Amino acid sequence: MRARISVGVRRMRVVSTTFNRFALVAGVALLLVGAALATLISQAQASSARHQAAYAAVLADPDNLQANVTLLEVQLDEGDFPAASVTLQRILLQNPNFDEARLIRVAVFLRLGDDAGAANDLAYLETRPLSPEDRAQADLLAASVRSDPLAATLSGVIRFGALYDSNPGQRPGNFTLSGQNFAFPAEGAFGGFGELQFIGELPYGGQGHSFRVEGHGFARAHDDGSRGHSYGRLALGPRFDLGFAFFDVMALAQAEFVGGHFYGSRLGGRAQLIVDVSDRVSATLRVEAAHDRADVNLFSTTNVGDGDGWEVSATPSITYRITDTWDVTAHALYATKDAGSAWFSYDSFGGGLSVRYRNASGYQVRLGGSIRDVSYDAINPNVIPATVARDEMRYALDLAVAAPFSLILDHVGVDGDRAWASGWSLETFGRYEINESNIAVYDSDNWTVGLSVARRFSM
Amino acid sequence: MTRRSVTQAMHHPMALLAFVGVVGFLLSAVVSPVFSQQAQVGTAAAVRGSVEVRSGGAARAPSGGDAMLLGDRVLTQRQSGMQVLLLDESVFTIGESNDLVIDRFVYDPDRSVGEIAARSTQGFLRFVSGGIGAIAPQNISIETPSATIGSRGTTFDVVVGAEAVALAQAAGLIPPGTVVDPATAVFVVLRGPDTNYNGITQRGRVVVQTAGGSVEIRREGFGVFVPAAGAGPIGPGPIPSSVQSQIIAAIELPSVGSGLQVNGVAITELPSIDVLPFDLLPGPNGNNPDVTGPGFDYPCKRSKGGALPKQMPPTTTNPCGTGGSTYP
Repeated sequence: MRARISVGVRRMRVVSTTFNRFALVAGVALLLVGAALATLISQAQASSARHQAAYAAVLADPDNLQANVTLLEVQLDEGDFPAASVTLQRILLQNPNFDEARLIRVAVFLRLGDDAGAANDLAYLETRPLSPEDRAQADLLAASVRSDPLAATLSGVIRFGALYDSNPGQRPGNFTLSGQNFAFPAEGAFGGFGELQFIGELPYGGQGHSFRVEGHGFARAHDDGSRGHSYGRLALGPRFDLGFAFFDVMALAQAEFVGGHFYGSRLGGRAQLIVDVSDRVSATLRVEAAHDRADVNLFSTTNVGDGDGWEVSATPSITYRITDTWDVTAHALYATKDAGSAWFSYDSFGGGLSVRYRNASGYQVRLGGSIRDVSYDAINPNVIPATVARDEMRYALDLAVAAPFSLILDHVGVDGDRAWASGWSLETFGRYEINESNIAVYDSDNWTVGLSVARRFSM
Repeated sequence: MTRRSVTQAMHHPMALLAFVGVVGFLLSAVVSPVFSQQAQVGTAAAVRGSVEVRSGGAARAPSGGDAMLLGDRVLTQRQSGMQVLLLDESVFTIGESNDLVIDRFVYDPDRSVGEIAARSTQGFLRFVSGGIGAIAPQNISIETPSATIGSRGTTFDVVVGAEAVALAQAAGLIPPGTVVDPATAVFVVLRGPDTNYNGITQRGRVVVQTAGGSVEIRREGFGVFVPAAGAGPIGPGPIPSSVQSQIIAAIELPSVGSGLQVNGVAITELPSIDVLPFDLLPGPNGNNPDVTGPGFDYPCKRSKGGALPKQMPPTTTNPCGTGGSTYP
């Protein structure tokens, strides 16, 4: 009875703390989302008025070069590349030697996937006396042109940077374990990380079918020499084009390491359906099942139980593209795991919302928040020697901004050859997380901020 | 007006007629923005070579800025072409040897209503969808002698006639023994956008419907050939760049001149195009990984949070998203 009262009081305290923290996070989130939406609305209105005026001017005098250039600028600002391509066509029909416009059209064609159109314009530019900067740009673009629409492609991003984590103990790469000769991380640690994400696609057949390989590797280390953390994931399988949707069936493999030691693995499969609901809305349902091997005994002198088991999750999401530059995504999540020990078995559900802005230059801002409820079947008796279920809420708030080097150079007024900057971005990010549990030992919060450099590639 | 007086007025035949007329007018203005015969649907632009527009029984040589009316027939000769900018920002780029009529145009963005129906009986043509492609992509169709081509919000090229046969032959799309009619054959090539542009929702698709069946083109750079009226479509199949270049040349050439000009007047100074230095590589959406922020995803938090090592000291943190608190 005493234990139950104690747990009950603790739960009340947790609820109270949860409310305060949740109110804080919710307040900040609402403020940020409100600011983003206000910006969106004012931008959309201004953009719409500017767009209508520019198109009206072109309709009134469609062969006026300046009117077409103004319309083109609006279309590119809005990220409307199909419309920009046809404005560029009109400009170039009148002025075939407007090399700057043709160079832009090559880039627009590449963004649209029209490699033949890009190749045609590049062939024309070969005959033109371009400046060294424009020639370098043309050569860079030429390297991206596929000669065969069925050619395999590989695209991805390499990222490396530095970060500060207010509570690295929350991370598996930093947790402290006694007597195992691993260094303790400081409360609040600086670290560095590197990351590689890629997607390889080999098209086959007359439609949009392809064989895909998706990879993700991540590694992190800390300046105090405390334990790092890394993982690698690979998914591969066919993607079928059903016309109204894409359907993937992929095999999954994942390995995770802590401090250079093997820590866990996952082997399983994934099915994913991506559906065109309308021109502006797409919906995705992802179902994943994997055997999750939790090698948690690695760092303990005592067997803490069998964490191995099957984990199944379902993640529906829906994205609404408000404009060509703004979109909002909502997702839900259900996951369950049945492991050898009850304290590794859990059910979880949650959801999240993110708003993203991205323009034609590759500049991006993303703001997201998520909530997740996780209920474990039992608490580890090593923590509380009683039969108590463990239940907790996890909140996260993310903000990320990416600015392409070329855009930064443009802003600071650097002239000359900027082709080298293509694909490079400077990124900054922040995340605040709260973990509220009915068992106080599991309560935590931390924030992470960082700066990184990213290089996208496509071949 | 009292109820009685309304009733009396309605009994008067002339008043009734006037009432019906007014109501009809108001309804037509509010409910049906369908453009009547000879209503303006767009504007002529970038006219090159020998082009004729037949409108209401009269023929004229168009110039940039001329109003294009519903039912206007555009005829282009060899090495000739023009653009028709529709009010919804859809654009027909009419290439050489074409014969095109826009039969129907409806556009009401406030009510998300729109329709474009056109006919092309010969020659080269490119269509880029605009506002109607966004709100009602299924309502865009181009009728040819052997197929009806339906846009799904995209850019595509259409070739009708003997040139279609030659190009399809060069693309390797015509199996041996196929009966071909050079007068009615049609060749359609999808130009994009692909899925890297904005994910699946904005990728280009074209439906080619014939008496012998229909097929959808979903991959940019792929094409479909219809050998004759009544025959089924062949393809889709990949179209070599050399064949696509021939189509582009027939649609875009000749240019007005080799120099620079505005409205036919030679210029020496070009306006600068003031755009952000947009990223040239595909993505960052669609099939490509996101560029914002690292992929912080700690698998441990997902599944292994239930365990605490038995000998964890009281003041330390514990694994898997739980740390910071006092050990009980």
